[in-house]
Amino acid sequence: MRSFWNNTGISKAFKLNLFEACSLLLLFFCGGLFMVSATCKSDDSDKPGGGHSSPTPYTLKQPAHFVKMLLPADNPLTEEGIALGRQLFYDPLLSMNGSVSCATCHLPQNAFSDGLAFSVGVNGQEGPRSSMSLANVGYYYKGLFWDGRSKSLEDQALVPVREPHEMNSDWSLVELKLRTHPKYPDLFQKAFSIRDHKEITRFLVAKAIAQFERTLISANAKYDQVLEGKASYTESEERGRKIFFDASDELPKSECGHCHIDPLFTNLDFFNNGIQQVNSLEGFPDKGRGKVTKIIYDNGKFRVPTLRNIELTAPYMHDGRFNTLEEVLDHYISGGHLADNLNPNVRQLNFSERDKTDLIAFLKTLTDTNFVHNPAFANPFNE
Amino acid sequence: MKKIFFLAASAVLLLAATCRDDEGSSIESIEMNFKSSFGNAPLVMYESAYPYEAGMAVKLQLFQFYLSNISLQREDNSFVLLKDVALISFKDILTPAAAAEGITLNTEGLAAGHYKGIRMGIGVAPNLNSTNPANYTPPHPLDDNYWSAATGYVFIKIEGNADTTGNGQFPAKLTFHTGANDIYKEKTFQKHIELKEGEPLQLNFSMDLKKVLSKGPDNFLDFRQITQDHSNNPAVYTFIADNLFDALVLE
Repeated sequence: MRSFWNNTGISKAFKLNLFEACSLLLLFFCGGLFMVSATCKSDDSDKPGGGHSSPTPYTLKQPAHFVKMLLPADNPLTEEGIALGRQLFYDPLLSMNGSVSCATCHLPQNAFSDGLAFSVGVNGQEGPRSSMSLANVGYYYKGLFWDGRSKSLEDQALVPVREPHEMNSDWSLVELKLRTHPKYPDLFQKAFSIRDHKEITRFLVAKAIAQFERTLISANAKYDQVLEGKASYTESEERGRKIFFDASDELPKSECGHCHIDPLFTNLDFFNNGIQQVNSLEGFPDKGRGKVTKIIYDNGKFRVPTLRNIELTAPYMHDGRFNTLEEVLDHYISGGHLADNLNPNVRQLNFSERDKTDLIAFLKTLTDTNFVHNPAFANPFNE
Repeated sequence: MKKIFFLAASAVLLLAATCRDDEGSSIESIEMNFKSSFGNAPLVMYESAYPYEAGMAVKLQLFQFYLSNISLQREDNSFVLLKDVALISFKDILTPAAAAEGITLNTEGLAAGHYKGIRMGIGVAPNLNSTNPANYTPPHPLDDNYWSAATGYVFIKIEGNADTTGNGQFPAKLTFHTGANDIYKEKTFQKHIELKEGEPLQLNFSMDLKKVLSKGPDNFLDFRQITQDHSNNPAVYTFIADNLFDALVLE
């Protein structure tokens, strides 16, 4: 069989009939269009990860009973990226004087919170709020922080470096330290395929930390094991579970499940839960969500925190005002302080001491010791 | 043979060159707009106090409901699905201007033509109500409002406060959360709908929340007696669901 090209060689091109000539013209035109179309797409070679050596894709093992995690297309998880993020998370190099890392306020043993009412940054400076647990933080798609001011983990990771009460540093300085570091340029090259140490930027730092944080999944508490049929509740825990979810007409209702929706035990939303007595909506000492949205009805609203590992994350509330779960329950039993934006689900409860004991027993089934002791989440500088 | 090859190759390349995600001049769209009121006043969260039955007044913080299987009815009575599920939430309606704008739901991908009506289920259709948030990637209408104890979604949420004594104070906390397969009902609005090529169509729906809570001075949810129901009391939750079904109107 004669090849097409032999049959339609250049020397014969001018001998084509009109139909063939038109078709050939169309072929070249379309071919050109196709090439233009293909090359109009973004040039990956300009982006980290688009260079000569590619990092290893990482498949996140997501719990089947969780909502699916939203993974940004411009920051895919990679083994090298996660490893770099973990290193950066624990490295005090990010702070002004090398004394504070992300992990200073997010300790694994406290489910990545710090056990303080107000987190402490460089030079002992106290921040305005308590540190939030990072358990399952990759699922937070309605904003980060107590007030939701950062839209993504990548945005959030940029903030603490420059906050005076946290790391009190300067990103230009941090970038310089990382670029001239004996190890980090190589780690960034492996994680993001950069060609030059000058390509190490704050944005890549944030991407790496965000990658690591997305792996901080807590889904192996007793609560999860019961769901999987691998464990069973005690009588007290089961009674507490029913109270928590308002699942029995014979038991008092706790109203917990409206906001602390399982399996994340937060609906990620922002509410005034009545902890602060104010005369008007302008009166909140910390305006919380309202400071971000500038909507007066958002004043005094804060993120519904996850209750996973709640046993490990005392003190409670954005200002750490409650030291124990018993104090938290006493607050909710009281119905909270009235305000125009008090969440109506916070209402007086009729609880006995047994009800409180059982509800707390259930809350403790949300403690995930595998999560807090997971070596993949531990400080790499201790290895 | 050569001709066929030329034609095939050209056609393939032409397709490859012109096939883009944003293509689709023949795709028509419908914009469904939902406005809510309380009696004759536009429904605004937090700010407005609305007169209610028996001298009471209410303020709202949340009003939302699910719609399922939103479909256009063809002339031959068959249906074309516009959206499998949508959450219509007035939670962020904080000003009269926002209330006048309403909530908009866009659908597209419809063929131009004549339709005789639009159908929608009030609530979460049973096939979707048997799913849970783990089946979805946020943001999705069904990634929230799931009540695991009832293994289903809360179809309707009404939250706010009541002044039950007429003294201008609103201490009574109202939370009505309604959802169960047996209250899911589909409603067809008979209306000639002409979808013209290249002309987006707007359908305007309205909902009077007062009609959801009250059928009149002799038959209403009395907030002096009841301030909460989480689908525990069939008399209450079916009252709300039936009233909401009736209160949804296509203008």
